[in-house]
Amino acid sequence: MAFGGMELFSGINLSFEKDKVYGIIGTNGSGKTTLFNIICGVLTPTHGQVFYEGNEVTGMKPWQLSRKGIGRCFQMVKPFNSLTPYENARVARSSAGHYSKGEEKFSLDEIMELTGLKDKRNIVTSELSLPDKKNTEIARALACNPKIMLFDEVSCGLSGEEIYARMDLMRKIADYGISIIVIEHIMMFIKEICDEVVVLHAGSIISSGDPSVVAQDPKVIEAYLGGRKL
Amino acid sequence: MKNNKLRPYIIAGLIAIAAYMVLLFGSDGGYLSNFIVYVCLFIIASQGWNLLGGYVGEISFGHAVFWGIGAYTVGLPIGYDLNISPLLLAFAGAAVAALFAWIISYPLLRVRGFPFLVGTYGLGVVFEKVFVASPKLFATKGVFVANDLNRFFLHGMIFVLMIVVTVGVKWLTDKDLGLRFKAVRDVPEAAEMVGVNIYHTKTAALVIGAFLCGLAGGLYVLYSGFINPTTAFDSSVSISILMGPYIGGIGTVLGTVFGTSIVIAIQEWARSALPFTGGQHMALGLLLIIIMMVSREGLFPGLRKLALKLSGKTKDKTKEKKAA
Ligand SMILES: Nc1ncnc2c1ncn2[C@@H]1O[C@H](COP(=O)(O)OP(=O)(O)OP(=O)(O)O)[C@@H](O)[C@H]1O
Ligand SMILES: [Mg+2]
Repeated sequence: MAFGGMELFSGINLSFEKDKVYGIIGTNGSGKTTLFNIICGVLTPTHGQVFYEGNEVTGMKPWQLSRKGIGRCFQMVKPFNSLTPYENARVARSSAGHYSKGEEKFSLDEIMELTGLKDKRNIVTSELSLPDKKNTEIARALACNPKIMLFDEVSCGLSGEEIYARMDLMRKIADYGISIIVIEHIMMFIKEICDEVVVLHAGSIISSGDPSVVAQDPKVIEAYLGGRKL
Repeated sequence: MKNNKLRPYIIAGLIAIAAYMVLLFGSDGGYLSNFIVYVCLFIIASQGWNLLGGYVGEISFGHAVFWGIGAYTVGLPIGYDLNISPLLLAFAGAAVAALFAWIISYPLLRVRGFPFLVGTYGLGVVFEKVFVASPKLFATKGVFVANDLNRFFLHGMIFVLMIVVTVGVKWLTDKDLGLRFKAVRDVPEAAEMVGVNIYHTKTAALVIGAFLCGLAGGLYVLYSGFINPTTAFDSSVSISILMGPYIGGIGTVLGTVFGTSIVIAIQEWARSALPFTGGQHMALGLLLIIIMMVSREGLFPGLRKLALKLSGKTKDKTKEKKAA
Protein backbone atom coordinates (compact mmCIF):
# COMPACT_ATOMS: atom_id res chain seq x y z
CA MET A 1 0.00 0.00 0.00
CA ALA A 2 1.39 3.39 -0.90
CA PHE A 3 0.27 6.85 0.20
CA GLY A 4 2.23 9.42 -1.75
CA GLY A 5 5.85 8.74 -0.85
CA MET A 6 5.01 6.41 2.02
CA GLU A 7 5.05 2.66 1.62
CA LEU A 8 3.14 0.39 3.95
CA PHE A 9 3.09 -3.40 3.92
CA SER A 10 5.47 -3.96 1.04
CA GLY A 11 6.20 -7.64 0.54
CA ILE A 12 4.19 -8.90 3.48
CA ASN A 13 2.02 -11.97 3.61
CA LEU A 14 -0.64 -12.24 6.25
CA SER A 15 -3.38 -14.79 6.67
CA PHE A 16 -6.17 -15.21 9.17
CA GLU A 17 -7.81 -18.56 9.83
CA LYS A 18 -11.44 -19.21 10.51
CA ASP A 19 -12.82 -19.51 14.05
CA LYS A 20 -9.91 -17.78 15.69
CA VAL A 21 -9.48 -14.53 17.53
CA TYR A 22 -6.61 -12.45 16.21
CA GLY A 23 -5.13 -9.40 17.79
CA ILE A 24 -3.23 -6.63 16.04
CA ILE A 25 -1.09 -4.24 17.97
CA GLY A 26 1.33 -1.62 16.83
CA THR A 27 2.53 1.90 17.47
CA ASN A 28 0.52 4.88 16.25
CA GLY A 29 0.57 5.19 12.51
CA SER A 30 1.97 1.69 12.04
CA GLY A 31 -0.82 0.84 9.61
CA LYS A 32 -3.37 -1.06 11.69
CA THR A 33 -6.39 0.83 10.42
CA THR A 34 -4.95 0.78 6.91
CA LEU A 35 -4.83 -3.02 7.10
CA PHE A 36 -8.54 -3.06 8.00
CA ASN A 37 -9.30 -0.65 5.19
CA ILE A 38 -7.62 -3.05 2.76
CA ILE A 39 -9.50 -6.07 4.12
CA CYS A 40 -12.83 -4.21 3.91
CA GLY A 41 -12.31 -2.83 0.44
CA VAL A 42 -12.15 0.82 1.51
CA LEU A 43 -8.65 0.92 0.04
CA THR A 44 -7.45 -1.11 -2.92
CA PRO A 45 -3.84 -2.12 -2.41
CA THR A 46 -1.42 -0.62 -4.91
CA HIS A 47 0.27 -4.03 -5.15
CA GLY A 48 -0.74 -7.49 -4.03
CA GLN A 49 -3.97 -9.34 -3.58
CA VAL A 50 -6.60 -9.97 -0.96
CA PHE A 51 -8.25 -13.37 -0.61
CA TYR A 52 -11.38 -14.21 1.34
CA GLU A 53 -12.71 -17.73 1.73
CA GLY A 54 -10.33 -18.86 -0.98
CA ASN A 55 -11.49 -16.32 -3.58
CA GLU A 56 -9.71 -13.21 -4.68
CA VAL A 57 -11.57 -10.11 -3.52
CA THR A 58 -9.00 -7.43 -4.40
CA GLY A 59 -10.74 -4.27 -5.61
CA MET A 60 -14.19 -5.27 -4.39
CA LYS A 61 -16.22 -2.51 -2.81
CA PRO A 62 -17.03 -2.40 0.92
CA TRP A 63 -20.72 -3.01 0.31
CA GLN A 64 -19.92 -6.15 -1.68
CA LEU A 65 -17.53 -7.49 0.96
CA SER A 66 -19.92 -6.81 3.82
CA ARG A 67 -22.54 -8.83 1.96
CA LYS A 68 -20.04 -11.69 1.91
CA GLY A 69 -19.73 -11.56 5.68
CA ILE A 70 -17.11 -9.02 6.70
CA GLY A 71 -18.33 -6.83 9.55
CA ARG A 72 -16.45 -3.85 10.91
CA CYS A 73 -16.43 -1.35 13.75
CA PHE A 74 -14.65 1.95 13.21
CA GLN A 75 -11.89 3.46 15.33
CA MET A 76 -13.75 6.77 15.41
CA VAL A 77 -17.33 5.78 16.17
CA LYS A 78 -19.61 6.24 13.22
CA PRO A 79 -23.12 5.13 14.14
CA PHE A 80 -26.05 6.44 12.10
CA ASN A 81 -26.75 9.27 14.49
CA SER A 82 -30.26 10.15 13.45
CA LEU A 83 -31.43 6.54 13.86
CA THR A 84 -32.03 4.51 16.99
CA PRO A 85 -29.72 1.59 17.83
CA TYR A 86 -32.43 -0.79 16.70
CA GLU A 87 -32.79 1.04 13.39
CA ASN A 88 -29.01 1.04 12.99
CA ALA A 89 -29.16 -2.74 13.19
CA ARG A 90 -32.17 -2.86 10.86
CA VAL A 91 -30.24 -1.04 8.14
CA ALA A 92 -27.50 -3.65 8.35
CA ARG A 93 -29.90 -6.58 8.52
CA SER A 94 -31.85 -5.42 5.49
CA SER A 95 -28.70 -4.67 3.48
CA ALA A 96 -25.68 -6.90 4.08
CA GLY A 97 -27.68 -9.31 6.23
CA HIS A 98 -30.17 -9.79 3.44
CA TYR A 99 -27.57 -11.77 1.48
CA SER A 100 -27.28 -14.46 4.13
CA LYS A 101 -30.95 -14.87 4.90
CA GLY A 102 -31.72 -17.99 6.90
CA GLU A 103 -28.21 -18.14 8.32
CA GLU A 104 -28.70 -15.46 10.96
CA LYS A 105 -26.89 -16.27 14.16
CA PHE A 106 -28.90 -13.74 16.15
CA SER A 107 -32.21 -11.98 15.75
CA LEU A 108 -32.17 -8.20 16.09
CA ASP A 109 -33.68 -8.53 19.56
CA GLU A 110 -30.92 -10.89 20.60
CA ILE A 111 -28.34 -8.45 19.26
CA MET A 112 -29.86 -5.63 21.33
CA GLU A 113 -29.73 -7.89 24.38
CA LEU A 114 -26.15 -8.98 23.68
CA THR A 115 -24.82 -5.46 23.21
CA GLY A 116 -26.66 -4.16 26.28
CA LEU A 117 -28.85 -1.81 24.26
CA LYS A 118 -32.16 -3.42 25.09
CA ASP A 119 -33.40 -0.51 27.19
CA LYS A 120 -32.02 2.12 24.84
CA ARG A 121 -33.00 0.56 21.56
CA ASN A 122 -35.51 3.31 20.78
CA ILE A 123 -33.43 6.33 21.76
CA VAL A 124 -31.86 8.31 18.92
CA THR A 125 -28.19 7.34 18.80
CA SER A 126 -26.88 10.91 18.84
CA GLU A 127 -28.18 11.20 22.39
CA LEU A 128 -26.40 8.08 23.66
CA SER A 129 -23.11 7.98 25.57
CA LEU A 130 -19.85 7.08 23.83
CA PRO A 131 -19.83 3.45 25.09
CA ASP A 132 -23.39 3.00 23.85
CA LYS A 133 -22.49 4.50 20.49
CA LYS A 134 -19.73 1.91 20.29
CA ASN A 135 -22.24 -0.77 21.28
CA THR A 136 -24.51 0.48 18.53
CA GLU A 137 -21.70 0.00 16.05
CA ILE A 138 -21.09 -3.53 17.29
CA ALA A 139 -24.82 -4.25 17.06
CA ARG A 140 -24.87 -2.88 13.53
CA ALA A 141 -21.90 -5.00 12.48
CA LEU A 142 -23.45 -8.11 14.06
CA ALA A 143 -26.69 -7.50 12.18
CA CYS A 144 -24.77 -7.99 8.91
CA ASN A 145 -24.47 -11.71 9.80
CA PRO A 146 -20.70 -11.48 9.64
CA LYS A 147 -18.45 -14.49 9.40
CA ILE A 148 -15.60 -12.30 10.53
CA MET A 149 -15.69 -9.14 12.64
CA LEU A 150 -13.05 -6.43 12.65
CA PHE A 151 -12.84 -4.27 15.77
CA ASP A 152 -10.71 -1.14 15.59
CA GLU A 153 -9.79 -0.04 19.13
CA VAL A 154 -13.28 -0.45 20.48
CA SER A 155 -12.01 -0.27 24.05
CA CYS A 156 -10.38 3.10 23.48
CA GLY A 157 -11.96 5.74 25.70
CA LEU A 158 -13.77 3.24 27.90
CA SER A 159 -13.47 2.64 31.65
CA GLY A 160 -12.01 -0.56 33.09
CA GLU A 161 -15.37 -2.09 33.77
CA GLU A 162 -16.63 -1.30 30.30
CA ILE A 163 -13.51 -2.88 28.83
CA TYR A 164 -14.22 -6.10 30.71
CA ALA A 165 -17.78 -6.05 29.42
CA ARG A 166 -16.40 -5.58 25.92
CA MET A 167 -14.06 -8.57 26.35
CA ASP A 168 -16.98 -10.72 27.49
CA LEU A 169 -18.96 -9.64 24.48
CA MET A 170 -16.15 -10.55 22.12
CA ARG A 171 -15.77 -13.97 23.68
CA LYS A 172 -19.48 -14.53 23.24
CA ILE A 173 -19.29 -13.49 19.60
CA ALA A 174 -16.35 -15.86 19.10
CA ASP A 175 -18.31 -18.67 20.77
CA TYR A 176 -20.95 -18.28 18.09
CA GLY A 177 -18.35 -19.21 15.50
CA ILE A 178 -17.58 -15.71 14.24
CA SER A 179 -13.90 -15.08 13.60
CA ILE A 180 -12.53 -11.91 15.10
CA ILE A 181 -9.66 -9.54 14.42
CA VAL A 182 -9.15 -6.85 17.06
CA ILE A 183 -6.89 -3.86 16.99
CA GLU A 184 -6.01 -2.95 20.53
CA HIS A 185 -3.41 -0.94 22.39
CA ILE A 186 -3.88 -2.78 25.65
CA MET A 187 -1.68 -5.89 25.79
CA MET A 188 -3.78 -7.31 28.63
CA PHE A 189 -6.82 -7.23 26.39
CA ILE A 190 -4.97 -9.06 23.63
CA LYS A 191 -3.55 -11.65 26.02
CA GLU A 192 -6.98 -12.31 27.47
CA ILE A 193 -8.96 -12.95 24.34
CA CYS A 194 -6.67 -13.55 21.39
CA ASP A 195 -5.40 -16.87 20.07
CA GLU A 196 -2.77 -15.14 17.99
CA VAL A 197 -1.34 -11.68 17.71
CA VAL A 198 0.34 -9.71 14.93
CA VAL A 199 2.62 -6.82 15.79
CA LEU A 200 2.91 -4.05 13.21
CA HIS A 201 5.57 -1.41 13.17
CA ALA A 202 5.99 1.26 10.48
CA GLY A 203 4.04 -0.72 7.94
CA SER A 204 5.64 -4.11 8.42
CA ILE A 205 5.10 -7.13 10.63
CA ILE A 206 7.78 -7.43 13.27
CA SER A 207 6.36 -10.36 15.15
CA SER A 208 3.41 -12.70 15.29
CA GLY A 209 2.16 -15.79 17.07
CA ASP A 210 1.03 -16.70 20.55
CA PRO A 211 0.37 -13.54 22.59
CA SER A 212 2.47 -14.46 25.61
CA VAL A 213 5.40 -15.45 23.41
CA VAL A 214 5.14 -12.30 21.29
CA ALA A 215 5.09 -10.11 24.38
CA GLN A 216 8.59 -11.41 25.21
CA ASP A 217 9.92 -10.93 21.68
CA PRO A 218 12.95 -8.61 21.85
CA LYS A 219 11.96 -6.90 18.59
CA VAL A 220 8.56 -6.04 20.03
CA ILE A 221 10.07 -4.73 23.23
CA GLU A 222 12.55 -2.71 21.19
CA ALA A 223 9.82 -1.22 19.00
CA TYR A 224 7.78 -0.22 22.00
CA LEU A 225 10.51 0.91 24.33
CA GLY A 226 12.73 2.34 21.62
CA GLY A 227 9.78 3.83 19.79
CA ARG A 228 6.67 5.18 21.37
CA LYS A 229 5.28 3.68 24.49
CA LEU A 230 2.47 1.17 24.45
CA MET B 1 -45.11 -0.59 16.89
CA LYS B 2 -44.55 0.79 13.42
CA ASN B 3 -48.27 1.33 12.94
CA ASN B 4 -48.44 3.27 16.18
CA LYS B 5 -45.90 5.70 14.84
CA LEU B 6 -47.92 6.25 11.70
CA ARG B 7 -51.34 6.39 13.33
CA PRO B 8 -51.24 10.05 14.44
CA TYR B 9 -50.33 11.01 10.88
CA ILE B 10 -53.22 9.02 9.43
CA ILE B 11 -55.69 10.45 11.95
CA ALA B 12 -54.46 14.01 11.40
CA GLY B 13 -54.69 13.44 7.66
CA LEU B 14 -58.27 12.22 7.85
CA ILE B 15 -59.25 15.17 10.03
CA ALA B 16 -57.60 17.54 7.57
CA ILE B 17 -59.47 15.94 4.67
CA ALA B 18 -62.78 16.22 6.51
CA ALA B 19 -62.13 19.86 7.40
CA TYR B 20 -61.17 20.61 3.83
CA MET B 21 -64.32 19.01 2.45
CA VAL B 22 -66.43 21.19 4.72
CA LEU B 23 -64.53 24.26 3.55
CA LEU B 24 -64.74 23.26 -0.09
CA PHE B 25 -68.47 22.62 -0.18
CA GLY B 26 -69.23 25.52 2.12
CA SER B 27 -67.33 28.10 0.07
CA ASP B 28 -67.96 27.04 -3.55
CA GLY B 29 -64.24 26.93 -4.32
CA GLY B 30 -63.29 30.56 -3.87
CA TYR B 31 -59.91 32.22 -3.56
CA LEU B 32 -58.91 30.24 -0.49
CA SER B 33 -59.49 26.81 -1.96
CA ASN B 34 -57.72 27.90 -5.11
CA PHE B 35 -54.74 28.86 -2.97
CA ILE B 36 -54.92 25.58 -1.08
CA VAL B 37 -54.71 23.61 -4.34
CA TYR B 38 -51.43 25.31 -5.25
CA VAL B 39 -50.09 24.69 -1.77
CA CYS B 40 -51.04 21.01 -2.04
CA LEU B 41 -49.39 20.61 -5.45
CA PHE B 42 -46.15 22.08 -4.19
CA ILE B 43 -46.30 19.98 -1.03
CA ILE B 44 -46.52 16.84 -3.18
CA ALA B 45 -43.49 17.97 -5.19
CA SER B 46 -41.59 19.10 -2.07
CA GLN B 47 -42.10 15.76 -0.39
CA GLY B 48 -40.57 14.23 -3.50
CA TRP B 49 -37.61 16.61 -3.40
CA ASN B 50 -37.22 15.96 0.31
CA LEU B 51 -36.56 12.25 -0.26
CA LEU B 52 -33.26 12.98 -1.95
CA GLY B 53 -32.54 16.44 -0.53
CA GLY B 54 -33.66 15.88 3.04
CA TYR B 55 -33.40 12.18 3.75
CA VAL B 56 -30.40 11.25 1.61
CA GLY B 57 -28.84 14.70 1.91
CA GLU B 58 -28.12 15.28 -1.78
CA ILE B 59 -29.36 18.77 -2.63
CA SER B 60 -30.94 19.11 -6.07
CA PHE B 61 -31.58 22.44 -7.73
CA GLY B 62 -33.45 21.01 -10.66
CA HIS B 63 -36.50 19.08 -9.55
CA ALA B 64 -38.56 21.39 -11.76
CA VAL B 65 -37.40 19.15 -14.60
CA PHE B 66 -39.54 16.31 -13.26
CA TRP B 67 -42.40 18.68 -12.55
CA GLY B 68 -42.13 20.00 -16.11
CA ILE B 69 -41.97 16.53 -17.65
CA GLY B 70 -45.14 15.62 -15.78
CA ALA B 71 -46.74 18.85 -16.92
CA TYR B 72 -45.89 18.41 -20.58
CA THR B 73 -46.85 14.73 -20.58
CA VAL B 74 -50.32 16.04 -19.80
CA GLY B 75 -50.09 19.15 -21.95
CA LEU B 76 -48.69 17.85 -25.24
CA PRO B 77 -51.27 15.12 -25.99
CA ILE B 78 -54.09 17.50 -25.10
CA GLY B 79 -52.43 20.23 -27.17
CA TYR B 80 -52.41 17.83 -30.12
CA ASP B 81 -56.08 17.05 -29.52
CA LEU B 82 -55.48 13.41 -28.68
CA ASN B 83 -58.41 11.92 -26.87
CA ILE B 84 -56.85 10.48 -23.72
CA SER B 85 -58.23 10.66 -20.20
CA PRO B 86 -56.56 13.66 -18.51
CA LEU B 87 -56.23 11.86 -15.19
CA LEU B 88 -54.56 8.93 -16.89
CA LEU B 89 -52.15 11.45 -18.45
CA ALA B 90 -51.34 12.92 -15.03
CA PHE B 91 -50.26 9.53 -13.72
CA ALA B 92 -48.47 8.75 -16.98
CA GLY B 93 -46.60 12.03 -16.47
CA ALA B 94 -45.45 10.86 -13.05
CA ALA B 95 -44.26 7.59 -14.58
CA VAL B 96 -42.41 9.35 -17.42
CA ALA B 97 -40.72 11.67 -14.92
CA ALA B 98 -39.66 8.67 -12.85
CA LEU B 99 -38.35 6.88 -15.92
CA PHE B 100 -36.39 9.94 -16.96
CA ALA B 101 -34.96 10.23 -13.44
CA TRP B 102 -33.85 6.63 -13.60
CA ILE B 103 -32.04 7.20 -16.91
CA ILE B 104 -30.46 10.49 -15.85
CA SER B 105 -29.38 9.04 -12.49
CA TYR B 106 -26.62 7.16 -14.26
CA PRO B 107 -24.45 10.19 -15.01
CA LEU B 108 -25.98 12.53 -12.45
CA LEU B 109 -25.57 10.48 -9.28
CA ARG B 110 -21.93 9.69 -10.03
CA VAL B 111 -21.17 13.10 -8.58
CA ARG B 112 -22.27 14.52 -5.27
CA GLY B 113 -22.37 17.77 -3.37
CA PHE B 114 -21.81 20.95 -5.34
CA PRO B 115 -21.25 19.34 -8.78
CA PHE B 116 -24.53 17.48 -8.34
CA LEU B 117 -26.30 20.70 -7.47
CA VAL B 118 -24.90 22.45 -10.53
CA GLY B 119 -25.70 19.45 -12.73
CA THR B 120 -29.34 19.42 -11.71
CA TYR B 121 -29.58 23.16 -12.22
CA GLY B 122 -28.07 22.82 -15.69
CA LEU B 123 -30.58 20.12 -16.55
CA GLY B 124 -33.42 22.53 -15.84
CA VAL B 125 -31.84 25.21 -18.03
CA VAL B 126 -31.38 22.75 -20.91
CA PHE B 127 -34.99 21.62 -20.74
CA GLU B 128 -36.31 25.16 -20.68
CA LYS B 129 -34.16 26.17 -23.68
CA VAL B 130 -35.19 23.11 -25.68
CA PHE B 131 -38.87 23.72 -25.09
CA VAL B 132 -38.56 27.44 -25.81
CA ALA B 133 -36.84 26.70 -29.12
CA SER B 134 -39.18 23.98 -30.39
CA PRO B 135 -42.34 25.08 -32.21
CA LYS B 136 -43.48 21.44 -32.19
CA LEU B 137 -43.47 21.64 -28.41
CA PHE B 138 -45.51 24.87 -28.66
CA ALA B 139 -42.39 26.92 -27.79
CA THR B 140 -43.04 30.00 -25.66
CA LYS B 141 -46.70 30.08 -26.62
CA GLY B 142 -47.33 27.18 -24.30
CA VAL B 143 -50.33 24.89 -24.32
CA PHE B 144 -53.86 25.67 -23.22
CA VAL B 145 -55.13 22.53 -21.60
CA ALA B 146 -58.90 22.55 -21.65
CA ASN B 147 -60.45 19.64 -19.83
CA ASP B 148 -63.90 18.94 -18.52
CA LEU B 149 -62.85 17.65 -15.13
CA ASN B 150 -65.14 18.78 -12.36
CA ARG B 151 -63.46 21.55 -10.33
CA PHE B 152 -64.72 20.20 -7.02
CA PHE B 153 -63.46 16.79 -7.91
CA LEU B 154 -60.01 18.18 -8.78
CA HIS B 155 -59.84 20.23 -5.58
CA GLY B 156 -60.78 17.23 -3.48
CA MET B 157 -58.53 14.81 -5.28
CA ILE B 158 -55.46 17.02 -5.07
CA PHE B 159 -55.99 17.57 -1.37
CA VAL B 160 -56.46 13.86 -0.71
CA LEU B 161 -53.37 13.05 -2.79
CA MET B 162 -51.36 15.56 -0.77
CA ILE B 163 -52.37 13.77 2.44
CA VAL B 164 -51.72 10.34 0.93
CA VAL B 165 -48.27 11.41 -0.29
CA THR B 166 -47.35 12.98 3.05
CA VAL B 167 -48.40 9.93 5.06
CA GLY B 168 -46.84 7.69 2.42
CA VAL B 169 -43.47 9.44 2.61
CA LYS B 170 -43.60 9.23 6.40
CA TRP B 171 -44.35 5.53 6.08
CA LEU B 172 -41.53 5.02 3.59
CA THR B 173 -38.95 6.77 5.73
CA ASP B 174 -39.57 4.33 8.57
CA LYS B 175 -39.24 1.34 6.26
CA ASP B 176 -35.91 -0.33 5.52
CA LEU B 177 -35.42 1.75 2.37
CA GLY B 178 -36.09 4.99 4.24
CA LEU B 179 -33.69 4.01 7.01
CA ARG B 180 -31.08 3.40 4.33
CA PHE B 181 -31.68 6.93 3.01
CA LYS B 182 -30.88 8.36 6.43
CA ALA B 183 -27.93 6.01 6.93
CA VAL B 184 -26.36 7.22 3.69
CA ARG B 185 -26.89 10.82 4.77
CA ASP B 186 -25.48 10.25 8.28
CA VAL B 187 -22.30 8.31 7.45
CA PRO B 188 -21.92 7.15 3.84
CA GLU B 189 -18.76 5.13 4.51
CA ALA B 190 -20.40 3.27 7.38
CA ALA B 191 -23.49 2.63 5.27
CA GLU B 192 -21.28 1.00 2.65
CA MET B 193 -19.70 -1.08 5.39
CA VAL B 194 -23.06 -2.67 6.21
CA GLY B 195 -23.85 -3.56 2.63
CA VAL B 196 -25.70 -0.45 1.45
CA ASN B 197 -25.10 0.39 -2.19
CA ILE B 198 -25.06 4.17 -1.99
CA TYR B 199 -25.67 4.69 -5.70
CA HIS B 200 -28.74 2.44 -5.76
CA THR B 201 -30.08 4.04 -2.62
CA LYS B 202 -29.77 7.53 -4.06
CA THR B 203 -31.31 6.36 -7.32
CA ALA B 204 -34.34 5.08 -5.42
CA ALA B 205 -34.76 8.44 -3.69
CA LEU B 206 -34.36 10.32 -6.97
CA VAL B 207 -36.82 8.13 -8.90
CA ILE B 208 -39.55 8.10 -6.24
CA GLY B 209 -39.10 11.84 -5.77
CA ALA B 210 -39.31 12.42 -9.53
CA PHE B 211 -42.53 10.43 -9.64
CA LEU B 212 -44.07 12.74 -7.04
CA CYS B 213 -42.79 15.90 -8.77
CA GLY B 214 -44.10 14.62 -12.10
CA LEU B 215 -47.48 13.89 -10.58
CA ALA B 216 -47.67 17.37 -9.08
CA GLY B 217 -46.65 18.96 -12.38
CA GLY B 218 -49.28 17.05 -14.33
CA LEU B 219 -52.03 17.93 -11.88
CA TYR B 220 -50.87 21.53 -11.94
CA VAL B 221 -51.53 21.67 -15.67
CA LEU B 222 -54.94 20.08 -15.30
CA TYR B 223 -55.81 22.60 -12.65
CA SER B 224 -54.33 25.78 -14.09
CA GLY B 225 -55.26 24.88 -17.69
CA PHE B 226 -52.01 26.25 -19.10
CA ILE B 227 -48.35 25.30 -19.35
CA ASN B 228 -45.32 26.97 -20.91
CA PRO B 229 -41.58 26.44 -20.50
CA THR B 230 -41.35 28.98 -17.67
CA THR B 231 -44.06 27.52 -15.49
CA ALA B 232 -42.68 24.06 -16.20
CA PHE B 233 -38.90 24.25 -16.03
CA ASP B 234 -37.84 27.63 -14.69
CA SER B 235 -35.48 27.62 -11.73
CA SER B 236 -38.09 29.56 -9.78
CA VAL B 237 -40.19 26.37 -9.85
CA SER B 238 -37.24 24.42 -8.47
CA ILE B 239 -36.84 27.06 -5.78
CA SER B 240 -40.50 26.86 -4.82
CA ILE B 241 -40.11 23.10 -4.53
CA LEU B 242 -36.98 23.10 -2.38
CA MET B 243 -37.68 26.18 -0.30
CA GLY B 244 -40.52 24.59 1.66
CA PRO B 245 -38.44 21.80 3.19
CA TYR B 246 -35.62 24.26 3.87
CA ILE B 247 -37.85 26.63 5.77
CA GLY B 248 -40.00 24.02 7.45
CA GLY B 249 -37.24 21.58 8.32
CA ILE B 250 -35.30 19.51 5.86
CA GLY B 251 -35.86 15.77 6.17
CA THR B 252 -39.18 16.04 8.01
CA VAL B 253 -42.58 15.48 6.39
CA LEU B 254 -44.48 17.89 8.61
CA GLY B 255 -41.83 20.56 8.20
CA THR B 256 -42.31 20.22 4.47
CA VAL B 257 -46.07 20.69 4.81
CA PHE B 258 -45.69 23.82 6.95
CA GLY B 259 -42.73 25.21 5.08
CA THR B 260 -44.33 24.85 1.67
CA SER B 261 -47.55 26.43 2.90
CA ILE B 262 -45.57 29.41 4.13
CA VAL B 263 -43.56 29.66 0.91
CA ILE B 264 -46.62 29.65 -1.34
CA ALA B 265 -48.40 32.10 0.96
CA ILE B 266 -45.46 34.49 0.84
CA GLN B 267 -45.21 34.21 -2.93
CA GLU B 268 -48.93 34.99 -3.15
CA TRP B 269 -48.56 37.93 -0.80
CA ALA B 270 -45.46 39.27 -2.55
CA ARG B 271 -47.24 39.15 -5.90
CA SER B 272 -49.47 42.01 -4.78
CA ALA B 273 -47.37 43.66 -2.07
CA LEU B 274 -44.03 43.74 -3.92
CA PRO B 275 -45.13 44.13 -7.53
CA PHE B 276 -41.64 44.50 -9.05
CA THR B 277 -39.53 41.78 -10.69
CA GLY B 278 -37.75 39.67 -8.10
CA GLY B 279 -40.07 40.81 -5.33
CA GLN B 280 -41.18 37.28 -4.55
CA HIS B 281 -37.63 35.99 -4.46
CA MET B 282 -36.57 38.82 -2.23
CA ALA B 283 -39.32 38.04 0.25
CA LEU B 284 -38.45 34.34 0.24
CA GLY B 285 -34.75 35.02 0.58
CA LEU B 286 -35.34 37.28 3.54
CA LEU B 287 -37.54 34.68 5.19
CA LEU B 288 -34.90 32.00 4.64
CA ILE B 289 -32.20 34.18 6.19
CA ILE B 290 -34.36 34.93 9.22
CA ILE B 291 -35.23 31.28 9.75
CA MET B 292 -31.63 30.17 9.37
CA MET B 293 -30.63 32.73 11.98
CA VAL B 294 -33.26 31.56 14.43
CA SER B 295 -33.11 27.82 13.82
CA ARG B 296 -30.63 26.34 11.39
CA GLU B 297 -32.54 23.15 10.90
CA GLY B 298 -35.74 24.94 9.93
CA LEU B 299 -38.95 25.90 11.59
CA PHE B 300 -40.36 22.52 12.51
CA PRO B 301 -37.29 20.94 14.18
CA GLY B 302 -36.66 24.29 15.87
CA LEU B 303 -40.13 24.34 17.36
CA ARG B 304 -39.86 20.69 18.37
CA LYS B 305 -36.57 21.38 20.11
CA LEU B 306 -38.10 24.35 21.86
CA ALA B 307 -41.01 22.20 23.02
CA LEU B 308 -38.62 19.50 24.23
CA LYS B 309 -36.55 22.08 26.03
CA LEU B 310 -39.59 23.53 27.76
CA SER B 311 -40.93 20.13 28.75
CA GLY B 312 -37.41 19.03 29.73
CA LYS B 313 -37.09 22.04 31.98
CA THR B 314 -40.34 21.28 33.72
CA LYS B 315 -39.24 17.65 34.10
CA ASP B 316 -35.95 18.72 35.66
CA LYS B 317 -37.83 20.95 38.02
CA THR B 318 -40.06 18.13 39.16
CA LYS B 319 -36.96 16.00 39.68
CA GLU B 320 -35.40 18.72 41.77
CA LYS B 321 -38.54 18.98 43.79
CA LYS B 322 -38.54 15.27 44.40
CA ALA B 323 -34.92 15.40 45.46
CA ALA B 324 -35.70 18.23 47.85
N1 LIG C 1 -5.85 7.79 3.11
C1 LIG C 1 -4.60 8.05 3.50
N2 LIG C 1 -3.82 8.90 2.81
C2 LIG C 1 -2.56 9.17 3.17
N3 LIG C 1 -1.98 8.64 4.25
C3 LIG C 1 -2.68 7.80 5.00
C4 LIG C 1 -4.04 7.45 4.67
N4 LIG C 1 -4.49 6.59 5.61
C5 LIG C 1 -3.49 6.40 6.46
N5 LIG C 1 -2.39 7.10 6.11
C6 LIG C 1 -1.10 7.09 6.79
O1 LIG C 1 -0.72 5.74 6.91
C7 LIG C 1 -0.11 5.51 8.16
C8 LIG C 1 -0.82 4.40 8.87
O2 LIG C 1 -2.10 4.86 9.26
P1 LIG C 1 -3.10 3.99 10.08
O3 LIG C 1 -4.32 4.81 10.27
O4 LIG C 1 -3.27 2.68 9.42
O5 LIG C 1 -2.36 3.81 11.47
P2 LIG C 1 -2.86 3.08 12.79
O6 LIG C 1 -1.89 1.99 13.03
O7 LIG C 1 -4.28 2.72 12.69
O8 LIG C 1 -2.63 4.21 13.86
P3 LIG C 1 -3.48 4.61 15.16
O9 LIG C 1 -2.94 3.81 16.28
O10 LIG C 1 -3.18 6.06 15.34
O11 LIG C 1 -4.91 4.34 14.86
C9 LIG C 1 -0.16 6.82 8.94
O12 LIG C 1 1.09 7.43 8.85
C10 LIG C 1 -1.19 7.62 8.21
O13 LIG C 1 -0.90 9.00 8.28
MG1 LIG D 1 -6.01 3.29 13.60
